[in-house]
Amino acid sequence: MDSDRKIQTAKAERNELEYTGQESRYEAARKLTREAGMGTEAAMENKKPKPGATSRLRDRRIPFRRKSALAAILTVGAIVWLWPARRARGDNLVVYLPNARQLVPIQIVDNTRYVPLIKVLSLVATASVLEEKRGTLKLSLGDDRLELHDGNNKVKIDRHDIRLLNPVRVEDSQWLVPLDFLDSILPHLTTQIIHYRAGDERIFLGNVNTLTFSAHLSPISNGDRLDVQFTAPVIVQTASTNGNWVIFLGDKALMPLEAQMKFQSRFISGMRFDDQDGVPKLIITPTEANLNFNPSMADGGKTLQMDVTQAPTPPAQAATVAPKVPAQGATAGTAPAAAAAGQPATGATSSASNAPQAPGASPAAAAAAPVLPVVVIDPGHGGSDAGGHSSDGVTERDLVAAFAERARAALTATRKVRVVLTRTGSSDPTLDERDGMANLSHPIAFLTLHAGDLGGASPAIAVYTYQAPSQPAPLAVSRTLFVPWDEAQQAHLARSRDLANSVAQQLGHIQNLEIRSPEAAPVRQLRSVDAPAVALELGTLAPRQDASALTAAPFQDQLANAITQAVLALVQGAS
Amino acid sequence: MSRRTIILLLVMLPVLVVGSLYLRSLVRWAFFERRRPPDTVARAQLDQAALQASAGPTQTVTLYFPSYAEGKLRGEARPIALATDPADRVRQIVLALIEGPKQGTGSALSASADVRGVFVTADGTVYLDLSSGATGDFNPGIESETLAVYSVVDSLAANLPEVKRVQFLVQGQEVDTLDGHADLTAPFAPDTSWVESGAGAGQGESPATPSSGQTPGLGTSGNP
Repeated sequence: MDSDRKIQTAKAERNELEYTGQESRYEAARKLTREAGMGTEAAMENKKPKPGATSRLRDRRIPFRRKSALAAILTVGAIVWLWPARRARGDNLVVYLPNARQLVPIQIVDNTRYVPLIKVLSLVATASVLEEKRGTLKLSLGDDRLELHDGNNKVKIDRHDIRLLNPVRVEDSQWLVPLDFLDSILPHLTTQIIHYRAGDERIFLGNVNTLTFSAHLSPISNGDRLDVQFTAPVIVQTASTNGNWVIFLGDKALMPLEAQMKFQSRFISGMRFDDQDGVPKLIITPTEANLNFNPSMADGGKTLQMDVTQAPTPPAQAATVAPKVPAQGATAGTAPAAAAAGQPATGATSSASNAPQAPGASPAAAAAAPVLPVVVIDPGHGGSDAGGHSSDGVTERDLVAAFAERARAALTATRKVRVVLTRTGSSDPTLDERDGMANLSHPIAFLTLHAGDLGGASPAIAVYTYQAPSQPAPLAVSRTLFVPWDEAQQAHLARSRDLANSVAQQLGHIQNLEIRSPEAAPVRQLRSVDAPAVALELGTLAPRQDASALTAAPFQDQLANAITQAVLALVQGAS
Repeated sequence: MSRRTIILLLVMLPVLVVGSLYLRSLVRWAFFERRRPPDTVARAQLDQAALQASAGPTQTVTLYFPSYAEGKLRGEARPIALATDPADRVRQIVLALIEGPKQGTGSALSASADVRGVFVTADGTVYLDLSSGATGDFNPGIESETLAVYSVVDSLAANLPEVKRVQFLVQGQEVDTLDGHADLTAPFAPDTSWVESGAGAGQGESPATPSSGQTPGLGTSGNP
């Protein structure tokens, strides 16, 4: 009886505790029940869930809503984790070398800027890959050994570990390193002097004399004067593009203290430094289109004075419209009107004159100093479009890019023309974008460079002018304001033929080079160029033979010089 | 049915629907679509039909193939039993060009190129729809593409007087260029300046004349 009473008491207490939710005491009561010698039957009976116990157990489970939310979070997390990294083409890293400049394309992966590892290393030393497997790359640079791991920010140099701010990545079989590689690791791999400011998109390698500048804005009569003071004399050229004034700073290596400046001025809204195409320049943005721009050099070429004044003319006479860039991918439209504030304005050098302005002059026409004519060079293909290739892996894209660079250097060295390249680095503008770039520059000549199969084994070159597929009659000499985009070249066919003959004649002076007589061919790139335009095709670039003869530097220099002579003849004929 | 089960079913229902649609398309692709005659087979049948549709006697046609060493087109005579339909005749000549030269000149079009369709309009414009093989397996360049284009245009114009212009299409679409160089945005008129001077039909035979009773007009030969 005593035992039964104990059991009843323990049961009552346990039930009570179960309702009140006191778990520890509930467990103690269960223990007491067992100790009280409760039989199996009674124990089984007690295992039956009580109404209160069931609701409690339900409460102790994770609620369905929470489960759903948890599953959703896990799913979203998995998607985010597995989602491919966002990639984009960024700007270029401009590499200033003592006698050259190179552009290294920057890729943006998940908002971090990366540069191709091998290309960067090749700037300072010859790198050879020792081993590449399972996300690990081992390289040898002289006496140094470099080890990188995909997705890891730790880089091993010999026996030392250096951590980057962001992990190394492999994209499209290309090893990419974040930009901080340039100041954290690159100096360990070379004895060359390296100037690199964290975050910048330019690096100075070797004994490069760098300049910098400061700017000061002051009011003058009827306008503002912007003084840009350089740390050494510079020779500048000015132009006007898209309503901005562009000051080309020559071949100097500039390291701006501030890349962008904004002004509280009625006339100039800002100035920024840009060297993304390898050409350092200042771009000055006026507050409105109808302003006079008068640049001049002072202080022995160390100070550029730019007077921006209000043109004292009625608004009706000052209706100068900045040219608009054609929409990307546009296949039909109109060639830009011939006269607009977008053409090169002045070749203001240290002796640039401060000529008085004609009333109502546009920004482009304001600085009436001698104008340097523009030559547009279009290296064919680009980006992922490699064009043709040779047996030794030389692609048309790379061959013509190198050739274009030599031609640009030869032409600019004459100081008689300015050169615009339609592409640099790994960019690949569309055919219409290239023609649009050319037309905005109002060039004196347009050269598109290609390479292909010209049959023979020895170097050859063919020169082409444009011929429409259906061969329509050329337009009359008198042109209307608007010309159909597809027919922009028609009015220049005669001058294009003269240019082709001149180029072929100059190329004829090169020994062991077969010259094809200039022909008219349906070259798509020439169709919409609103200037004398020719296409040059180097040969033979075909899979059956190597291209060593075409890539030789002396050969390319000879071609570049011949083109330069032909262009200079055109310039002299035009002047 | 408890509330939880209903919610679960509501969530699972779209998943099941999407999954079943995907499975359906997967099954179709794996078991049915592959068994259908592919496009290439249909084109081969059309080519075969065009080549066999010889209503007239065998004629000697002049085919122009590129000679890359000279940068010109060189004529080559070839006997072909031309069909009666203008579109079939165009197809026959283009297929003969794709087949390649027999006298040592270069090929005009890639051997992997194919004719997807031919449409001849009343004004003599031929719409020639080539497969992507015409551009994919091609050695690009200004000269090679120009010669390829005029090889077709001049060969058609020389043998089929009703052909006045040729508009090239690739995979049924208008394209900017053949492979980055030759302007294909407009129909091509024949241009004999690309033909090697003094080069005739190779074997001294005259180019083919159209079969009697053939008048320029609308004709089509395309894929079903």
